[in-house]
Formats: sequence, structure tokens, C-alpha cells
Amino acid sequence: MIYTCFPCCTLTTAIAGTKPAQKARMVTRTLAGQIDMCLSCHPERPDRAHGRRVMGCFSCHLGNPLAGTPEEAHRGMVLNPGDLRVAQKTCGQEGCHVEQVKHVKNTLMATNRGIISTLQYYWGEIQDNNGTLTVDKLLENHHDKKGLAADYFRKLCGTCHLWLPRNTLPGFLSEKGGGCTACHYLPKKMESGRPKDKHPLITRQIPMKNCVRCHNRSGRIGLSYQGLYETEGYGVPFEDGEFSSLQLGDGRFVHKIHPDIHYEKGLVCIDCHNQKELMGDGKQRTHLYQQVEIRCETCHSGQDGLERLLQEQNSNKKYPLLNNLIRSEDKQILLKGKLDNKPHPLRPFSRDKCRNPQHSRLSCQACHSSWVPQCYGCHVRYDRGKTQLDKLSLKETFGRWQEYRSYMRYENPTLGMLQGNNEKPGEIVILVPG
Amino acid sequence: MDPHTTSKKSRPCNDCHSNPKSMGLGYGNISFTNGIWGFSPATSKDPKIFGQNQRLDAFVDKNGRMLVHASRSELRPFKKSELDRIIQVGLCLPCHKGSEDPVMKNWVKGKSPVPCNCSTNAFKTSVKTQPSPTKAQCTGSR
Repeated sequence: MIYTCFPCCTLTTAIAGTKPAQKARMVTRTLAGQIDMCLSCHPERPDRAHGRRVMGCFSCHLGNPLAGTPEEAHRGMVLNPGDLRVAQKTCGQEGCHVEQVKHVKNTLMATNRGIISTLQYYWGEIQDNNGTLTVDKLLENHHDKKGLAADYFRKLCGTCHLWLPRNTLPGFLSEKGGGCTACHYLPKKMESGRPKDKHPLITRQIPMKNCVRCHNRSGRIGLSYQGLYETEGYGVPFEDGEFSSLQLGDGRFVHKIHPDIHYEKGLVCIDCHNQKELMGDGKQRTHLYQQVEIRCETCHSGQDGLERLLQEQNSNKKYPLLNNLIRSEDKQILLKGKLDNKPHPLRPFSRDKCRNPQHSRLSCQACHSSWVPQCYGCHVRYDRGKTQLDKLSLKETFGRWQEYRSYMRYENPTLGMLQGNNEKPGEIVILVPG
Repeated sequence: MDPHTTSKKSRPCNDCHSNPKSMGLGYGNISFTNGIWGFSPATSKDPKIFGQNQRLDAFVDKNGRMLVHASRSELRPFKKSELDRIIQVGLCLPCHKGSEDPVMKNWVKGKSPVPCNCSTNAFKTSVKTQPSPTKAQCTGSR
């Protein structure tokens, strides 16, 4: 780093109007070799990997780091570098996360392809649920509704995808979206007596909160994992005859019941779900089950299987199934929690009970999932005379959708058959209404 | 799907083999008469209540007729033959508990033993049953 006195510059602070104009006192050459004058006024300190003296401001936020006036310096600047519209120039620029940015645009979190094509199939607009319509295609063409299914998606589902700009929708929805930032964003804890620095941290240690921000509807996986059961809208009086006291940010009432054992042991989403599942490998898939690779057997098939996984982790394989395995002093292979850094034992399943011939077709979930939210009589009402916010175009348009359900239960799951094919035998799995 | 509600302890045998809800039939009672099982639903299919002529909790009827479509074409509720086999195990569970029992351990697919009188207790029905093998006869058979 080279710091050079630069007294002639008259840059003002970026937060115009909040501080008096000040002269730039220095120019910084960042570790990336970029001359960056922004730092003369901006005190913000991101995380270490994206440190102010490593990256400067321009590398991520664009603008003009050599301009003499704040207006010039801020021209073309982006507040959220993770927004997928600009990510190729910011996070995905040469030397940074080029591949990840290209790949993530093809993942289901960005395309929502499975949701859209299933809706189209339900509405009878396509022959099967393997359609090709994606969020970015819908964004390109605001005026073409492409049928009721697309309109339903725009009004009700269009808040949970990576193309959604952050802080654009009202209320609790404002925290959703943001491209890379949707997951890798960590607000900084404010410390008393220090300069106010709102710059968030960018992290690979994704907290569960960031995942559950979206994964809390439909299958309610993010809630169920924590043992949160969504009760009826009025707050069913489960608590000694009193109405529920637990409420989500969107107003839904929840009741605490027993969580997933992995949650109890301290595991978070990213401890199991790997980079390829979450950020993709560039290949566009239609459905979640095509993108998810991790299985119960991955961790619980015994020492031999774990040895193979550890070898894979230590090899040069681009996308190992797990990358948080460690070997303990007594030669056992353990899973190291990515957030808590704690070692977790990976106990093998019982060969006698889980692999006996009579039950060979049972999935692990069929027996070991203790409950599942079951929404009966799920239906919607469409009123074409009223308007509703299109979450993609961010405009009020005609056609209002409203969701209803008859009743909700948390009970032992119903089972059914996932028919096999030449490559894979049939499997008894969980069926969920709703 | 994986509901993400994993527990270390698995569901007990009768939770799948004697529970019509788990089999996809919906809430109700299974009865066993003259060697044939029947199902009495506990919920109504009155269209005035639910707006459709079908019970909301049922994926399949007792004849194996599929009542709802799944989001995946290869996903379906159990067929009649599968329901028969699942319930057949349930009939024996009141006495032959768990996978360690000789009857369960030696159960041969498609060649299940004929249920005995004691099995009717599994479903708490008051339906008359035809004479069938006694408990002593079926214990440990095969």
C-alpha cells in the first residue's frame, strides 16, 4: 500500500449533506493495484477479504475513483455490488468470483424455473412441468403476462429470487433479494463509541437467517428445521389457553415444537448444502430435486463412505460433496460446523433396521421425519378487477390473487411411491398436501 | 421432499402399517371383516363444506384410485396391491411387535401369513370376523 499526500483534491463525503465537505488528504493504492481516492472520505470498513485497503471502494461499488468532485466520483456507482444486473462487473470481475457469478444466474434461486413451470402446468398452459420460462425472461418482458400462471408468479411468488433488487419492496420483503448479497450479507454489529459504519460484512459463513428469509413458505423447510410450526392466522391458543406469542416478520404465528435433530446439534443449512447445490455448476436445471446432491447416506453410511468423501475433499475435485470433514485424533472422520467450528460425529445408520429386505425401498425421510406441515384445501382467488403489486416490474397491475387454505396440521407424514426407472429403483417417500 | 424434521428415533411400525392417514387414505378407521379390509373415513366430502366432492385429507381411496395429482409425474399414492400388503403387516403388529419378531423377520414378500383373530384388535373395530388362525398358529410361522 502506498499513501500519498494529495492536498489539492476537494472531495466531499459520500453521504452528502450529513457531514461538511472535506478535502481529500490522501490517495490509496490498494493491494489490487488500483488508485482509489474514495477512501479519503469514506471511513467504512468491510470484512477482511474485502478490506478497504485491499479492494478500495471502486472495485466493488464502481463509480470513478479518480474524480475530483463527489458528483463525478459517484456517477455510475452501485450501492449493492451483488445485484445480478451488475455482478459481472463487480463480484464477478476478472480476478474475483468470475465463475460463481456466471453459474449462480443459472441456479434455481435465480431462475425459479421449477416454480414457474409447475404453475404453468397446473394452469394447463404447458404439457408438463418442465418449462423453460425463468425470472430473467419475465423481467425482460414486463408487458407480456404469458398467462395466468406468470401473473400469479409475479404477484405472489416474485419476492424470492436473486434478481430481486434489495430494499425495493415494502415491509419485510425489503430484506429479500439482492443477488449475491441475498446470502452473503451480514450486517455489522454496531459498537458504542465508534464511528457509525453501516458497511455490511460479506461472508462465506452464511447464517441460517439468510436462508430462511426465503425458505419459509411452501414446504416451510426453514421453519420446520427450527421446530417452528406455522399455526392459523389468528394465533391458535396453544400457550396455556393464550394466543401464540411467537410471530414471524410477515405476521404469521408460529408455535415451537421439536426441531430437526441436526438443528439441535448446531448444524446450519450450509453445513450440509454445498456450493454446487447452492450456486450451481453453470447447468440450468428445472427442479430442486435435480439440483440437490446431498443425501442422508452421504454422512451416515459409515466409515468407508466417509473415507471416500475425505479423499474427494482433499483431492483437486472442483465440487467435492462435502468440504468440512476433519479427522480427529482417534482417526474418526467428523463434520466441522462451518459457523460454530465444532466437530460433529457422523454416526452410521443401522444396517439391520435400515437395510432389511422388507424395507429396502423406504427413503430415510419416510421413517425419520417426525412431522411435516400439511396444508389442506389450499386454493386461490383471482379478482381481475382489482390491482396488486407486480413484484417483478414493481408496478401495480390489474389482477389480484389471494391465497386461502381450509386447515393446517402438523402430523406424521403421509407416504407414497416415487416410481423408479432403469437407472434408479422406486422409493417410498413423503407426500405433502398443499 | 425432505421436511427437515429428522428425528433420531424412527416412526413405530404401526404408524405406517395401521394408520390410514400415513397410507394416504386420510383420517378414519380401518376394519377387517371376512378377510377383507375396509376403511371408514372420519372426514366429510360434503361439497358444501369444502367446495369439492372429495375429502381433502385423502390421496387415494381404498380401491387404490388416485384422488390427487402430484407435482411430479412419477410420484403417486400407493396402489391397491401395495395398500393390501401394508395393511397385512398391520394386522399382525398387535402381537408381533417390531422387526426382531420371528414373524416379521421371516416375512416373505407376497407370501404373508394369514392374519389371526387377534389382529382385529389392531383397528379397534366391533365387526364380526370369520374364524381364522389363532394367535398360537400364526406366531413364528414361516
